[in-house]
Amino acid sequence: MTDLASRVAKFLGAIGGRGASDEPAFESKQTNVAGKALPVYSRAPIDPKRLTTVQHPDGRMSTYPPPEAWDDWVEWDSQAWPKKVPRNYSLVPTICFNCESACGLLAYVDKKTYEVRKFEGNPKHPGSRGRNCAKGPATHNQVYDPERILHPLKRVGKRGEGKWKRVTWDEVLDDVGAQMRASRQRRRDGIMYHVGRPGEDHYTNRCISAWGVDGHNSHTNICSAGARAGYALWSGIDRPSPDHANARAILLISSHLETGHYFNPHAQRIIEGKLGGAKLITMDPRLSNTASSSDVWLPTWPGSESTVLLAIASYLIRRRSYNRDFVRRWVNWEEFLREAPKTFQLPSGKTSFADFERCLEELYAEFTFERAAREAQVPIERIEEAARIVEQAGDRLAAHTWRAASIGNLGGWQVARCLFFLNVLTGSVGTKGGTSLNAWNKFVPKPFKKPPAFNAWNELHLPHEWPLAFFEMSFLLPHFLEEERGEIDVYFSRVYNPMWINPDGFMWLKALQDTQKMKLHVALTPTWNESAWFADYVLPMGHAGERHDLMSQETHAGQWIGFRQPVRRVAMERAGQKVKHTHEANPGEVWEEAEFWVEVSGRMDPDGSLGIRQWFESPERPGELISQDEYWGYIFDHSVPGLPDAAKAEGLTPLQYMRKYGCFEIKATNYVPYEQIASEGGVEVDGVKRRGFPTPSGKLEFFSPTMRDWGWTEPEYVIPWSLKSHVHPDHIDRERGEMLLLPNFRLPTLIHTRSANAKWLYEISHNNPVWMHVSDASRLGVETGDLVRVETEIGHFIDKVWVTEGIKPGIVAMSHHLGRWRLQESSGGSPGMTALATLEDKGDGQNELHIVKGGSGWKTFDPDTSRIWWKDVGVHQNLTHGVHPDPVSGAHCWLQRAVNVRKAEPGERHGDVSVDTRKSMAVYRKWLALTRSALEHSPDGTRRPMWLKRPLKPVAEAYQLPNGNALRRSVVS
Amino acid sequence: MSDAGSTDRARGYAVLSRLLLDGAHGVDPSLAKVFVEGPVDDAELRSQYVAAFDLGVPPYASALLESTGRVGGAVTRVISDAMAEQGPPPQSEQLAADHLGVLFAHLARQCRAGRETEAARFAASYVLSWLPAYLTALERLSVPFWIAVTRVALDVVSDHVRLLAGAGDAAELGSAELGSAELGSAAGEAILANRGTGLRDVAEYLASAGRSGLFMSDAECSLVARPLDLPRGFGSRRQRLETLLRSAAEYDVLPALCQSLGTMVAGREERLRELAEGRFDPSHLEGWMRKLAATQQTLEELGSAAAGATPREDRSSSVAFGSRVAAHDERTTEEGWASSKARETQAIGGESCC
Repeated sequence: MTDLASRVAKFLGAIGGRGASDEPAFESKQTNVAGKALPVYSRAPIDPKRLTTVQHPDGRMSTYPPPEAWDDWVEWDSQAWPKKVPRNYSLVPTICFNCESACGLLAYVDKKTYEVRKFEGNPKHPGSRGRNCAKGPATHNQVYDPERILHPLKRVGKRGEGKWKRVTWDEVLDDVGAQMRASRQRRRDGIMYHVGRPGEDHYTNRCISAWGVDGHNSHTNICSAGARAGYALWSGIDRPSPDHANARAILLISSHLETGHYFNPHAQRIIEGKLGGAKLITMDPRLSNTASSSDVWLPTWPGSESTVLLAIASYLIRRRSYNRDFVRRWVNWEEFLREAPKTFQLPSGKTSFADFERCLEELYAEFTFERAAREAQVPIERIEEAARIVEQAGDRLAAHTWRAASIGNLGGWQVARCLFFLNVLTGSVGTKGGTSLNAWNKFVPKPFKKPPAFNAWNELHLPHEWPLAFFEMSFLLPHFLEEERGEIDVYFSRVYNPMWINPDGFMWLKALQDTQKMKLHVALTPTWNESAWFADYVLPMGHAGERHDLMSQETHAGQWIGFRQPVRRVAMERAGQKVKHTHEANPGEVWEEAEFWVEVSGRMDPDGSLGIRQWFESPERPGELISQDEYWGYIFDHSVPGLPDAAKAEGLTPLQYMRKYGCFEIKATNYVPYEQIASEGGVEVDGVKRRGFPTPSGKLEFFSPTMRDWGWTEPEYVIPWSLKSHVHPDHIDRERGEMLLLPNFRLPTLIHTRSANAKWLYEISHNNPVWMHVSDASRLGVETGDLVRVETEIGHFIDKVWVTEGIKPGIVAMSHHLGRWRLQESSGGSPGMTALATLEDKGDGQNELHIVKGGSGWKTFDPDTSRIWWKDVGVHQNLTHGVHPDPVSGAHCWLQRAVNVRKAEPGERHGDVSVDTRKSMAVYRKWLALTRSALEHSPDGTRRPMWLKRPLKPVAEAYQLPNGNALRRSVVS
Repeated sequence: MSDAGSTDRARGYAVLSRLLLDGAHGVDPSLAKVFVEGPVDDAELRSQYVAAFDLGVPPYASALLESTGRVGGAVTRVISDAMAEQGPPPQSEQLAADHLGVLFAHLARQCRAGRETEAARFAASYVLSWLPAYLTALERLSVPFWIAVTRVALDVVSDHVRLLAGAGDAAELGSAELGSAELGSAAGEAILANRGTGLRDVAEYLASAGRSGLFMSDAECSLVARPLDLPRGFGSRRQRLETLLRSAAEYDVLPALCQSLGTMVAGREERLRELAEGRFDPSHLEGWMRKLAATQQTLEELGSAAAGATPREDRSSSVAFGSRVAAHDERTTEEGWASSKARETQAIGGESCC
């Protein structure tokens, strides 16, 4: 026998005893029915087909395929043009997963290959009504992103070293489930779920409750905490819901027509309102597209918005042109009058509404148009015109603030409070054309089997210094860890990139690398991001068409729910195929959280001894874990009013109805619900018990006893007032070259860190130059395209400048979203949308980021990736932002004092970032000193007013401060 | 030839197929010991898998045979059609038909069905035609386990192909490479004969194993660059090689680079001969040897021309290689520095030396 023959014989002999598992991988039925690896634009064989056509009696063209044709829609293959090649599609509705608006999408799933050809709008969706912004259809770009993570990965080397191995979902579930179990057995604050925009309404919170831990950590404090606090202190509900379409006046703080919080649903209704004659007033220091479309643009100096709003309020009060009856009936003015002598040095014994009106006039007399014009640096005529428009709107004033000034400024929560003051004065609360509150327009169904509240309080989430925060102080987590306040056993970052999006990112880098304080980091993400690079597990989760979620938003005056679906799975099931888990249908092994949570919870408590497993078991199959069909079927059967009847009318089950349409309208309108007669509870108004508001008084709280009780006793905190911002002109020494950095305006085409995997979107906007007024540019000697160095309190960055008249002098502005980077050439991000970078820790807190290479084309199965014509993908400015936690709302006050702005010197390169984290901690401590701790100010020994919202409320017992002194000692030490 | 029965051979192919397809998910320790001695670390094997097949040398016939190096072209189609002729191909929506693991799954199925001879013909034409060259590229990486697996794979295929001699099918032994008519010339190219050839073209040629006979992984590119103090570059292999060649020209080390690459080519030729010895008829390698010889010739010419060129600072009076490099830069201007090179070219004229 030759050497070769003997080697082969030895090999065959060695494997001879092996069993059936050594069959070739493809010998049995394929394990992934819809394709497992990189998605390909595979094609079905061409069958002769007729194009589906819809004929209307009046000859109109059809805008959308009608739902009755969604099961088999035939249209020409656009890529085969000029040949007319028909393709059969199953049209499956789903919900966009980019921004928070929850717009409807309709996926065109090829019936032969189950590839998704495109995403268009869902015409049945009550919020978006078939219309989408650029981000909706770009979902296709994200699904077929060649750089997306397709398999579960486990870290092999050190954190951040970039070495990964593929693991199976089974291995992930075993390991993560075991570590969750171990943590839960030790304590109830060791598991942390840190979520970006949730994109769903109750599912994960239910899971966290079932685990029995205080584990929810949101991104709210870098987003909407200021606005939420302002609205909640008035009404007990923390979000506005303007009825733009029916308004007579629309008052926006920032650019909601083009980029706002519910951008697409709001934009279309603002346009409808305008078409109906509404006047649009916009406050924004930047000439945004919204500002340019406004009837009145007020380019206010940041932080002066409250003063302008109170000047308008004062105008209405002075002229008695406000809705006096509404204020009399619904404002807690009696409570105010009782307090007035103590807090406002007003005479005692005043009890009538007329007394209150006189007090109002006296209190707000100082807010003149002249003062407002001076502080805002806006022509007085424009403020006067805005006031006239508001006055003429009557009870049809639709007003909105969300991020912008409310999250920008120290005391920004008062911006929301002052804005809603105008709604209250005009009586446009919940009226047609007015401003509702989100709880009236958003519908969250009761979950299947609700677990009880947990008995725990995680001090890393809501420490005693911020008893009124909305909500968890998530952006300070690294600073808390630095202070040794705690440690985390299992940290889930969920579709979130804390290191990139939060201020002071180098502090996050330190925390993410610390395996002692953050013991296990599991990144649940559809795509690579800077934080996931430092995780222990990177677990691929689905995009819009690859997951189950239920979602509702207050997009207008009605109520609806939207059902996000894994569209390939649904199309396959329509065709009669069985799919057990969504990752069998998604590209690669991309999964969805809804199923992942069920499975990992099952592994966390396999025998039910922790009392967790029961919440994840099937109602139909005892002992087995619940399926998605069972879960959502139960919800739709039991918790959505009107849905069972609507489904029955079509001969469908409620679940079938939702799978077919992807949405359901519960109420077309829902005006003034607080006026409803209350059968129990409620508040008495003119002798009648009405539903009222979920505040302690049941009324709208002009005067806030809560603020008074928790240590904020000064007049400017207890009623709508103007607080002095940290970027007030007094704090910006422009003579010395200081400027105000406005770092957080949005672009309509991107969404923070979630869209850097969409080439189509980056083609539209890919860089974030520094906006600078021509007068400032002239002073600094720079022209458009020159590099400037912007120095903040803790570091500096280098970026190109864009010289424009569209920004207020003294302010430099940069958009959010851009400046993404990766640390490896071939992994960690898309080469066209991220820069290749290096991180340097130079010791003594000195950290630097340098760009090695900007965006560039790269070759993949998608020829579009080679067509990258830009190099500048922006500058990661957030790294240089010191943390600014507002002492009341807990919001990170995004506006920055730019201590120096100058032309870059030779050797300073675009994208360079340098930060001194010793200064980071100093800035943190400066703001920490502004707080008023529950330890000193809690009126009842609790950590937080029970009536204030939390994403997940623990039991009442957990609200008790355990031992104030002990807690204080442990924190101070 | 071993005296393996068709069932044994089917099992052998099946085991190898599963390893090549699913190795990223782990390897049964008892199976791992068949290929290497001593303790095996599961994480290490998975990591090696990614380094070998995801990041190193893609285990597709197309990567070695297509002029573009891209999967899904003529090579994939020819193999897919050939598979289909022998029966239903293994179902996979995730991998193209020319993946080594898919090919072995097909061979396993054929052997199990008793069609060993047909399978051997298939193996000779569509596996043995590129697997040796593939192995020489893989052996340059630090992935010992997967090199061992691939060597066994080559042994099994070689042993199987020997069946053909016994079956009186000797003609197959000498023509066992993918048909040149279908897949372009198997002969070496003289790319420098074209006056328009620039460094980008040379890089494109070297990056294509189907044309140059040489598959250079990213890691190898770095190994060549480092001793010459050249940047290892970014991006695709073509881009890296172009950066390498441009930098070498820029810093007057192109002759040394060509010599270094020439040494690599010679090493591959030598290794291919070693692999053939005792395994299969060297005639299987003729196409590869022709391509490698042509590449060697190209590198020598390029190196000689570069060595004859005046150093960069004196290039204003040169009409030799340096001017040609500059001429190419003008044609492919993308960066600022390239623009200045283009201006330099206009000053010296654009005569092509090769």
